[in-house]
Amino acid sequence: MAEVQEQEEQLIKFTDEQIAIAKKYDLTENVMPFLDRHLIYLLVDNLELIYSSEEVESLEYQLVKDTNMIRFIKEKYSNLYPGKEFPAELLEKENFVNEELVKLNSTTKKTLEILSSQEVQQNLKQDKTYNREYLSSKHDIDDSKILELYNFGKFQYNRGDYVMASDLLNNFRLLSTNQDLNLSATWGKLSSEIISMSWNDALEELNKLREIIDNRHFKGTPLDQLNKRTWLIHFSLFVFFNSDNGLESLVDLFFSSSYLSTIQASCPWILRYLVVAVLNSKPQQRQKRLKDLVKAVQIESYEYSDPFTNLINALYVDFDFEKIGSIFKEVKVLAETDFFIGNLPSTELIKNIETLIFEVVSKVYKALPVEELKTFLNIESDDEIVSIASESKDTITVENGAVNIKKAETGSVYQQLYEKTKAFNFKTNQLLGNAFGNTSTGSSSTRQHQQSQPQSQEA
Amino acid sequence: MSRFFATAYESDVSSDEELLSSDDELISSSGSETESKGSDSEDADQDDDEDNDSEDWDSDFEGDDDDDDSDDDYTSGKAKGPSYFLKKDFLKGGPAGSDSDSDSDSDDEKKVVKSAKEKYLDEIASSVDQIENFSMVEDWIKIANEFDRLSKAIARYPQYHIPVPRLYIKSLAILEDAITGFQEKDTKKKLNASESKSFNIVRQRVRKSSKEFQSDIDLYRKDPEAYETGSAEADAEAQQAKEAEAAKSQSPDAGVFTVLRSVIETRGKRNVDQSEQIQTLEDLISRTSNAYQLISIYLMLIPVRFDQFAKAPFMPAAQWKASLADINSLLDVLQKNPTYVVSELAAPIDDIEVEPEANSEGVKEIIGSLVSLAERLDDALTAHLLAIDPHSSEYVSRLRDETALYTLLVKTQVYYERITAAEDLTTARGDQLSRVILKRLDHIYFKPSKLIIFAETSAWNTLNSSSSLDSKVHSKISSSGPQGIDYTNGLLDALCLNLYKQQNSIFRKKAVLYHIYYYAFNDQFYKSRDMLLLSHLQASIHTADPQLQVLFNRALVQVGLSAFRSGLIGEAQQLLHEIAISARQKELLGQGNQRFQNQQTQADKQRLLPFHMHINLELLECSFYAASLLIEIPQIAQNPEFARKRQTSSKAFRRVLEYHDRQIFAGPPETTRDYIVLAAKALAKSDWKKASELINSVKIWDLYNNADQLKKMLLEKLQIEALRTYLFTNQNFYSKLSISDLSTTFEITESAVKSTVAKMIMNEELNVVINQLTNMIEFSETENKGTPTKLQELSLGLSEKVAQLIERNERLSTGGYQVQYDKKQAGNTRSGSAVTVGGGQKK
Repeated sequence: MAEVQEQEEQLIKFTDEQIAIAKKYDLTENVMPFLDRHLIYLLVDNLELIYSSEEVESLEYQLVKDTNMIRFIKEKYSNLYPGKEFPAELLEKENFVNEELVKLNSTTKKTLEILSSQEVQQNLKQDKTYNREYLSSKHDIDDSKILELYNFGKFQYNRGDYVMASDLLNNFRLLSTNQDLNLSATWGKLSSEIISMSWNDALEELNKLREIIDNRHFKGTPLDQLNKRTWLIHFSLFVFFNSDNGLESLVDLFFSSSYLSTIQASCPWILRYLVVAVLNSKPQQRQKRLKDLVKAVQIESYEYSDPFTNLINALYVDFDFEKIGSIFKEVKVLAETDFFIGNLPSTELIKNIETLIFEVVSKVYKALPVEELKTFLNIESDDEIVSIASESKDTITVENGAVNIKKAETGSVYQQLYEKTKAFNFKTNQLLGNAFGNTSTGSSSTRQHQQSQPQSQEA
Repeated sequence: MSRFFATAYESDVSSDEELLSSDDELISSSGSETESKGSDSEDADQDDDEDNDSEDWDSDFEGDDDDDDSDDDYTSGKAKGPSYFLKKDFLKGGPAGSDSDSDSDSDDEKKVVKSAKEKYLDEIASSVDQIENFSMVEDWIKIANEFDRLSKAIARYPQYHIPVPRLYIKSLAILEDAITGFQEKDTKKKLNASESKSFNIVRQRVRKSSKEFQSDIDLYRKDPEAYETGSAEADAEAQQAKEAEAAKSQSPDAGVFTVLRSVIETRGKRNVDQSEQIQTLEDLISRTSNAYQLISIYLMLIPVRFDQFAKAPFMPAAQWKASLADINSLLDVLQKNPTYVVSELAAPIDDIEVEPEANSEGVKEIIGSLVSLAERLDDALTAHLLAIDPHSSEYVSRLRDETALYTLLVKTQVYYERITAAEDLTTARGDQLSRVILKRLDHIYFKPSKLIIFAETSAWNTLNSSSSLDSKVHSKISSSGPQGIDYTNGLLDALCLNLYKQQNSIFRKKAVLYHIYYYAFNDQFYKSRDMLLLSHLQASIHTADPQLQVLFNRALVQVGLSAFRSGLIGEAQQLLHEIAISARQKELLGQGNQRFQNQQTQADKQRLLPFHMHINLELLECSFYAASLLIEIPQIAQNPEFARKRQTSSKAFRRVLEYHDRQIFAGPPETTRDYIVLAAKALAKSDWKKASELINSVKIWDLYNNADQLKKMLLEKLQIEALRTYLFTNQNFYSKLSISDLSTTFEITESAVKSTVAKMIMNEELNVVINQLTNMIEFSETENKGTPTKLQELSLGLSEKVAQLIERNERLSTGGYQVQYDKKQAGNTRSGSAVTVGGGQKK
């Protein structure tokens, strides 16, 4: 009941118009094919913000129906069809799951006990072949036993016991030499970590996967590699949007050439998150990345657009300031409703966008009516303008319903030149020091350089 | 005698007659035309199997009085009317033996006239006699000589259109006997070195030859007498009659295969009359209805048809159509008899009479290749199209046959789909299907959607008039299925998808290029561009074979033109650049050769495409220059000095402009290029109206489907670029500009003006700000208003470069060893080039 109330509260928060916007740009459908069932659940759950609870409820039921999370299914079922009996196959499945659980538990119990014993722990080494020999000779753990670990891990994952699953899969990975199963075990572990919100472990798994996929000797076709990368990109959203400094890593990863082309080739909607990540990064970083971002957005604009990419397009490609106001409105809605972006502190994001818009506006305009600027920034009061403007280098004055922008002195050409060249001397000396130590060639070269340095400063 | 034979059958008089010729001359000088005619017909009676050549020859003689063409006339050098020249002409053909001249116009019947063939047979007879004699005494050296001569003579028998002389068979048999007989007792008799050598030679040769004629020898051995007598006057006519008789009297099967076999044996040999063979085979078809026989005959007949014109530059239309009809009927036969399958992968057969064994599914596979036949038919059409003047009505009428060919290709594809199992598609078996599909694509990829639909409809209508067929790869066009562009898109996708699955990379590469070309041509720029980029062909195309390179260039140009049509000027210019400015444009696109004619190789010619597939070069050039114009003119206005030095892509365009400037008199525009250059001049003055007028008066735009839309797009671009040019050129003269004025001057909306200016501000091209309150553009009011002076600009540029250099050095020094390794050089670069150059520049 409490849940329902909460939903109602949230529903009040959005007007119909806003919900329409959110629905229009909802990415859940695009993202779904590239995610695990259990991860999709998180996304679908989030849909309650914009869809009615019945719809979401039935979606969720469809989603979990094929898993082994019996209790959860039952719960969903009774929510959907209150007062109805559980269908027979569900009960059957419950029995089956319970039996299977007991069976797998008993078979793996011994293996796990041995593995956790003090003696074995000490004897295990880095070398997997050695480990296997050791285990099979001393403790009678052969390949089939190890495989059982994998099966049990998979089963537990399906049952919703993610911690246990992660543990089992980890053990399996340590022992198995089967590359394919190892890879899927890693995927499984990554999902488990994501669901159990242990972001650091998830990040670790993510990097492991990246190593495998980006390996130059990647086994499999280029298409396979592309698919794996697409999966990785989608999985990584969970991790990056939740861990500290995650967005910086996201920017680094997604801008690396192979991932950027993956995004362009198979999942252009990821650009939304890339835009958000760049907008959210530190100002210096942002300036650097903005150019690449504009390019990426521009290239893809023919096949994908949403408020975030539109914002970039309007600001940096078309310079169509009149549109910015309405786009900004949509962006604000999405910042709340999107599963990933919703995780971020929305005020900071909005503020960043405002600064960005203002930066462009103040560069282009000398003066403009206050009302116009207000629509650009989608704000109500003059005070807000002042507060945004206060961060700018330029002097902004608001009077008589107009905003005047007085550009900060860029300085004369001479000044510019001086600024540019003043560090050269130091840098070069440092460089020479690094390269040659204190050898004679180094000093003579330095002297030569010093002689020429004043010349460039004179100018 | 040998001298006579050396001149072959040019003169058909016997050696005996040579003796007569002197009298003959005397007599013939008064001979009349009627006489000669009579003798000629007599001649013809005697050896009715004359070669065509010599018959012509005879007819030449009939035409004029051959009596005066005797030697003395010739040698005396007196011209005696028109016949003299004829004679001379003729003599040139065979001067050696011509002294006797064939005019066997024997007045008296007594003279023995022998044909060349008879003489030939006589020669063989004497050789055989000799051999027989020598073999009695076992004189191997002489036998060897004689047999050598005999073998040489025997090699010529096809010239006379007679079967293997039976005497020769006889001699072979005799020799064989002699050899075996000799070998049995050879231990007793010693041979000297040269004798034994000769013996061995004879033995080897006889063994080789007798293997060739084993069946005949067997016949001979069975009944030497009968064989020999039968052969006594072994005449071609008799032989032919016999053959025909045999064909009639024996079971039809045997007859068919005898003829077939004879065709197979003679195929490809010299002096075989192929038209006659075709005639024979065509007769055979009408005589039989057995499926296996029909298939075998067709598989023989069609290649012979092609053989007929193997050396000719092209195949005449009538013959081509006949081949087409044959392949069609072959396909029909196969369609009706699903137990027979013609495949390249069937096991080769030894005896064509025996039907191949049925495999586990009850299908009898016959070796042969329908796809090769279809490919050859296609090549023949292309060769013919290349040979015809593309502007003649003949070209158009020939081009109509493409529809029939396309129908055939579809039919062949359906056939291969039937015989190819789905799981075989990617193996060598599917290879044949892929080849057909590739050919089919080859006929549609360059066409607009409407034409493809036309070809499809007519093909399927023809195919379905008799039976209902459908393709598995992509179902036929129908009223219920997708229509218009959807259908063609689906068709191309399906066909290409099949090829993408192939192991052979040539299929995949060609398919992707066809695919790109098609989409580009049908205005789907982004799709085609993405495919081009994803194919990664740019990296490897330089090593591909020329045909593929041509295809790549064509696809590239189409993508460029597509970009131009979609208004993506920058992309269009980049894509078209390389081809458009190339001096070997035609060659790159496979549309002609710019080398000297005599240097062309066969391969060069094969690379060429028929005219209807060409990309209009003028259109290409025009599009490229128009794109360059829009890009270059504002740049020149922005910074004339800098722009000139910059290694820009459109140096070619600039060269054209400069060339125009050098002209003393500039006449009214004539060529497309003139129009563009004048438009550029107008744009440089920001006179967008005139520029657009000039560009729009280029007629070639009408070749684009949506010419009006294109012109509108160009106009919009011109307005914007004119505004930019205006701002660049006049920035030093204004402190303020009214946005609304600009908007009226260039007839664009105020917001468009603002967005253009904003873009220029953000790119730091222009030092202005917009004052929204006054609706003005204000140029910045700092002391160095406008652009900085040249010196300042250079200094700034230099400092930036030095900064880059330092950065690079820093990166190097973190690498460590590289600097150490190049210690001296690194030092030089730093102190030498960068800084001293800097000093020099500034002072």
